[in-house]
Order: sequence, then structure tokens, then C-alpha cells
Amino acid sequence: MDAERWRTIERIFHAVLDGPTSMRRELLARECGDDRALRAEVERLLAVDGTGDDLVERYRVLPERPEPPPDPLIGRVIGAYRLVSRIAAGGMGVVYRGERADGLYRQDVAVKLVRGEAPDDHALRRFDLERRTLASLNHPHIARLYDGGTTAEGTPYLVMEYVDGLPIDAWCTAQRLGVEARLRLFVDVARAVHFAHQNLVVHGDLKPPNLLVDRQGTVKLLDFGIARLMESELRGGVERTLTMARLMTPEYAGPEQWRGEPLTTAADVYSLGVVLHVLLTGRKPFRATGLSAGQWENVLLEREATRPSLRVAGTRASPGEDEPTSADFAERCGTTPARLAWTLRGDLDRIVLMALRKDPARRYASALAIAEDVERHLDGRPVLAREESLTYRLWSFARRNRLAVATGAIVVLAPSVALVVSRKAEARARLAAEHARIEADSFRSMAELGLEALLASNGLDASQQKDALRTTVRAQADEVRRRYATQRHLAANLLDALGLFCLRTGASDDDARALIDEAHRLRVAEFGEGTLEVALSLRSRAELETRLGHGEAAVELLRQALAIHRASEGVHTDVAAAASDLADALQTQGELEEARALHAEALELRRARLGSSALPVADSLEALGGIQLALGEREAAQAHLDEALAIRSALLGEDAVETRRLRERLAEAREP
Amino acid sequence: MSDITRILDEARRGEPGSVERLTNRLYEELRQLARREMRAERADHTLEPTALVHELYLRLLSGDSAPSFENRAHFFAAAGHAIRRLLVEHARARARLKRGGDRGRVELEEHVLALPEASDGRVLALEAALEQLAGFDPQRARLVELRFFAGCTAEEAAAALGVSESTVAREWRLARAWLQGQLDGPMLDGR
Repeated sequence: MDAERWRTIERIFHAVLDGPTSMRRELLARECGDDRALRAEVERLLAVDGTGDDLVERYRVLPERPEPPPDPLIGRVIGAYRLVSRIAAGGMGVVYRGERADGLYRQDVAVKLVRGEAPDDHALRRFDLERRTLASLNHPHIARLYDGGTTAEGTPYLVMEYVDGLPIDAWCTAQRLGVEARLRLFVDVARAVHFAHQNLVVHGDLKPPNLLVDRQGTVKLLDFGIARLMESELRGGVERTLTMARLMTPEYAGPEQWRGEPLTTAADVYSLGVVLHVLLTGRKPFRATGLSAGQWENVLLEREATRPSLRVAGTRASPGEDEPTSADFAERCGTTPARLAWTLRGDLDRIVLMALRKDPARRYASALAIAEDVERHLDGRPVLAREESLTYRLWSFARRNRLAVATGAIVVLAPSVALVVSRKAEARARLAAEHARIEADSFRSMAELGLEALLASNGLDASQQKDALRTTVRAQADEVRRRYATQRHLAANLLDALGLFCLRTGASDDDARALIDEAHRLRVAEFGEGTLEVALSLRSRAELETRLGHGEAAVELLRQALAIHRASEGVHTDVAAAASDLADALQTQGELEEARALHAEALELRRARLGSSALPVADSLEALGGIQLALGEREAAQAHLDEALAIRSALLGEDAVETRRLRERLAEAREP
Repeated sequence: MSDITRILDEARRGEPGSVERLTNRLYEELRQLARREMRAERADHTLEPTALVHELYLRLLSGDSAPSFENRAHFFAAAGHAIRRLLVEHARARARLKRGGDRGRVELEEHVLALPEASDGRVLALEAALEQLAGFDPQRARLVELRFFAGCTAEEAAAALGVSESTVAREWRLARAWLQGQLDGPMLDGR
């Protein structure tokens, strides 16, 4: 049987049952027309309707369980409504389905009871005020807020339109919606968000569970402004940042919202970007699972999202265990990974990345702007979204590499220089002298390279800027090959650095790969496989794979690098750093157990070398504690976080960002 | 909060993939549990799925103060799916063993959770019907799985599927009628 035929049968079956018994024959005749087979099938089904419970008993594998103890609130009348059943319980409260208590007419509602202590009069008045603003939001894609107040016990409650539907991503999966249909749903969402913004209401918690699609395929936005209502009005200011951070689904909140800055429309634009990313790739731009608050903040602030078309393409793009593979997801969109990637490449990549920008001021100016850009794409008109300008990228690249800039070099070389060592002491001394001389030279030229590119990029658009930078980098690479033709280890260092430069400024992933690979080959030829120099190249390649969304490949490379570091015992090498890198990569892949073991090892190594109260020790302690929290080992986690806090308080001060962040994290861990 | 509660919460929030993750996790837990029980019992002992699922429930969720209704529903829904996989694999392995073949024996030893042999036919008939139904109406197939393999009440099924109870009642009505035509057919196990 095909799905369409089945839907016809379903429709007629229910139409006949819902109609008056006396009309059955007529209804059947009218609905089935000449299709005798259809009629026979429906009649057969109707004939056995209402029977068959014994069949169920015979085939049932698990019997029904006795009902759980009833919720004492079921049956209670609150306002004009009687609570019928519990729908959900979440961080902010419990939601019940309710119906009118007076039975005057039938109306299903959702009643949300706010959790927590009774608020004072002042807070309640503000709650009322906000509630009235929300109640005036009247839009076909926004679930209405009907009523609200406080119960006899003083618990605030809200009465909202009841929506019987699936979260938007689950709906798209269930319906196997293609990209275009997904985009149209998204446009409805973004336009509804804009409508609310015009009415001075920010959502603050946009994510699929709040975007429900009903059986007719209409999307409805739930809980508009609720996050803010619950937070700012009912709780004190001190506690606010912490509670916001805990209640939000971290992956959907932008960097500024995560930091607890006041909610703005730009935060909703970021969340819309995450929703669109999820609808188009089946995955969130970044995964927070198992990361400590500090690590997550780092990801949010520093890591650029990978282009969606890259996320869905490769078979190597490894999803987390709770995410579909590329093939599965493409199948859910009714297409193949290659075709899906082709569809996303260009316009849609740019639209998603523009919404996800770190700096709120550089995102779409409004929810309407992103809706309109998606519509432009659907209509085949040019979209407004542009790639981030190179000037901006270089600037933020420089900001991230503050130290290098301060010494007059925008450079990627520093870490490699520090790590490259030779096995023989005398060779090491000779090489060091040589390095110092030649690389002072190359530092300057790299700084010039950055400046040159900055100047050249003035007045050019993003793609021209990229071309300009690529040309500069290629010329520079040729120069390196010429000048250091006989000193291949130096050529390798510089080419690797140029590759990372290409990668981190976003000039060209392809050029980056070519340069990093070339340096890798040179190092293998010069030093042989399994040397520390080669380990450096493996780590560069891991960075590239991470950027392309190939987490699994990155893990593999970092494993090899760590193995080399371990084997090079006796030489001064930072096994702890290599282990931490690998642990971080494993953690984003959801491999928590192994990541924990590596962080623990890094911790011991650092303690042994640096003593018990050094900052790197605190970093390891925090990372370890974060994983243990995720694994449910609360006591061990608290002990580690406590120790990390003591170190940071002593060395950085009580008010340093890193100290504060850790203190909040610890308070969270202590929550019952 | 235990690991399992975290996955359950994700399932309740509708996080993509969380249901599969939960199912896989429970599948492994069930197999481990079954294996441990088997070692303590006689070799020809068969394990009651009901008892097994309940033990798993107690083991995994007893640490939490009164799991919420939704978490309970999601737990049993996922456990039902895991049970389905185990039983079907077992019934098929036993059939292969009967036809002669060591592959069957090995598989059988691996899949220690089992109903009495007489019920294999019913399990396989149900499986065939479910696979067929999933071809043109996946959500209804899921509902049938919840009722038959997970022992969900209508209310629990509604919570696990994220739809209202009235929707479940409506879908169940046609599903039951359709199943009668499929199950009481020639595939019955001769009872």
C-alpha cells in the first residue's frame, strides 16, 4: 500500500465513524465513488472497528503498567480552567493541558505554573504588566497568551493556546521535507519573530521544542517572552545571569546572551540562525555536550561555524552520537548528501553564517531581514548576505593572536618555533641560532603580509579580498620555497605557518590544505615519520579538519601526534598539551570516557612539572571537572572545580573573568 | 542527575537523535542485564521481558527522585523498541537454528533474552505487520510498537509521541482495525 492510498482510507474511515450511523452507507458511497477496492477495504476495517482487544492481549509483549501515582494538581481549577493532564515539566515550571471549567464551550489550553518561591508584590505587578503586553501579541504563527494570574498559594501561572504538534525539526524529518519546504517553514518562523519584535517582545529561547508544527503543517511559536518574564520579573538580579545560563539550551544562545548580557532582538536573530542550521544540516553549529562553561564560552567566542554545505557533504563528516549521519540526514530531506551540499552551497551558506556571527552588530539587522533574504533565495534573486569581510577577519585574527601582534608580528609561527626541537643538543643549539636569525626575518615578512593584505583589501568586496589575500600568500610561499630551498626544515615551518594563516583568516581552505600538506611532506623527508616536527604538522592538519567539520579525522590526527609526543620521551616536549588537545577533540565527538582519562593524565603531568598551583593545572582541573559533571560524577567534579577555583583566585584574583566563570560553574554543580 | 535522566530530558525536549541514542543505550543495558541473569540461572531458562524491563527501570531511574511522567513514558518507549529488536533477533536466530546451522546457535547464545519458543511466531508476525505499516505510516507504526512492545498506556504513548491523547485514541482505532487483518491471518502460530 502506498502512503497516499492509506491517507485516503484513513480520511474516509474517520469521516464515516464521525458521521451519524444512519448515514454510513451514503457517506461510503460518496467518498469512495467507483473505487470498489477502496470501498471494500474501508468496509473491512469498519467491520472490525471496536473489536480486537483480545488480539492486543495475545500479541502484547509488555503488559500495560499500573498508572503512576496521580499528580495532585490534576483536576484542580485554576482561573477559568481545569487541569486535565500534565504536558511537560521543565526548568521554569510545569505545563498542564487544561479545559474550560465552566464547560460553556470547548477550548483546550496549556497552563504553565511557574516554579520557585512566591514573588513579592512589586515583582507581581511587573509580571502582570509584561503579561498584558504578551497577551496583545496576535499573530497566526504565535501561540496566544490568554490569561494569567496567581493561584491561591501565590504561584504565578499563565494560560496559553494549546498546540498539538511536533517540534519543527522532528516534523521536517517525519514529513521528509525537502530544502525548499523547510525554508518556507523557517520564513514563517522568522516573520513571526519579527512581528513580536515590532511589539517590543523578544523571545529569548527560540529552539525546536518551542516551534511546533500542527497536523495542518502550520508552525506556531510558543513561550514568547516567557524566558524574560520568568527571569527578570520573578527572580532577583543577582541570580539572573546564572539562572539564564542554566535555563537556556546553550547551543541556541548567542555569545552575548550566554554571557548574560541584556536580551536584544539580535539574540533572537542568532537563535534563528541555529534553527536554520539545524533544519538544513540536521546538526547544531557547535555541540556543548561535555564542555565546561569556560570551554563552551571559548567555542562560542572564538570558533567560526563551518559552512553548512560542508557539514552535510562528506562521508567523513562524523556526527555526534545524537546526530544523524550525512547520508541519513540527506535521506530525510529526500535527497543525497552531494545534492544537498550543492543546494546549500553559496546563498544558504552565507545566510546561515551571517545570522551566526559572533558580533551582534554584524548579524542580520532584524528577523525580517533574514526572512526576506531566504525569500530572495527561494525566488532566485540575489541574496544580501555576504561573507565576513577580510578586513574584519584579519582584525579579529590579530585580536586572537594578541601576543604576536604586540611584538609586531601577526603570526602563526610562534607556537611551532617554540616546539621544534632536535634530538641532539649541539644540533639544537646550532639550529636555534639559525632559527633566531632567519625567523626574525620571516616574522617581519609575515607581519608585512598581514598589513599588506589589510591595505590592499580596502574597498574590495569579500571575494575580491580573498583573491587578493590568496595571491599574496601564494607569492609568499614561492618566495619561501626559493629562499629556503636548502633549509627544508625552515621552509616547512614557514609553509605550515602560511597554511594556518590561510585557514584562520578564511582566505582559502584549499590553499591551506595544500600548504600544510606540503610542509608535512617536507618534515617527513627531513626528519622522518614519528618525529616531533611531524607531530606539529599532524596538529595543523587536525586544525584544518576541525574547521571543515571532520571531527573524527581530527581526532585520528591528534592521536598520532600524541603518540609521537609520548614516544619522544626525554626530549622536552609537552605531552600534556597534546593530550589536552586530543581530549578536547574527543569531547566534541562525545567520547567522554576517553577524554576524561586524557585530561586526568594531562593534569598529573602538569602537576609533576609545574607544581600544584599553576594556571595550566587549573585548566586541566576545570576540563576534568566539566567532563565528570557530564558523566554524573558530581562529587569528584566538585572537588576538581574547587581546586581549580582556589588556584585561579590566588593567581588571577577573585574578579578575573576566568575565576568568575568557574565560580558560577561550581554553583551550578552544587545545585541539588 | 544521572546520565540516563539527561538523555531522557533531551528526548522530552525533542532533541534530534536523542530517542535513537536512548534506545541504543537501553538495548545494550538490557543485553548486559539479561546476560548476567542468565549466568545465574539454568541454561534453558528464558527471561521474561517484563521483569527485565522493570529491573532496568529500577536500576537506571531509582536514583532520581520520582522521574517525571514524560521521562517515564520516554523510558518505556525506548525500552519497547530495544525489546522489539532483541525479541525479533532471537526469534530469527531460533528459526535458523531449527533449519540447522551454527550461525543460528552462536546468535542465539548472544541473544539471551527470549520468550518461550511458542511465541516466536507471534513476535515475527507482529514484526512483519509493523514493518509493513512503517512503510506507509511511520507514526502509526511507532504507536503500535509503543502499545505492544512497550506496554504504554494511551497517555504514555501520547507523551512519548509528543501528541495529544485524543490524537492517539484516533490513530489507535484505525491501527487496531488494520492489524486484525494482518495478524489473524495465516501466519499465526497454530494456536
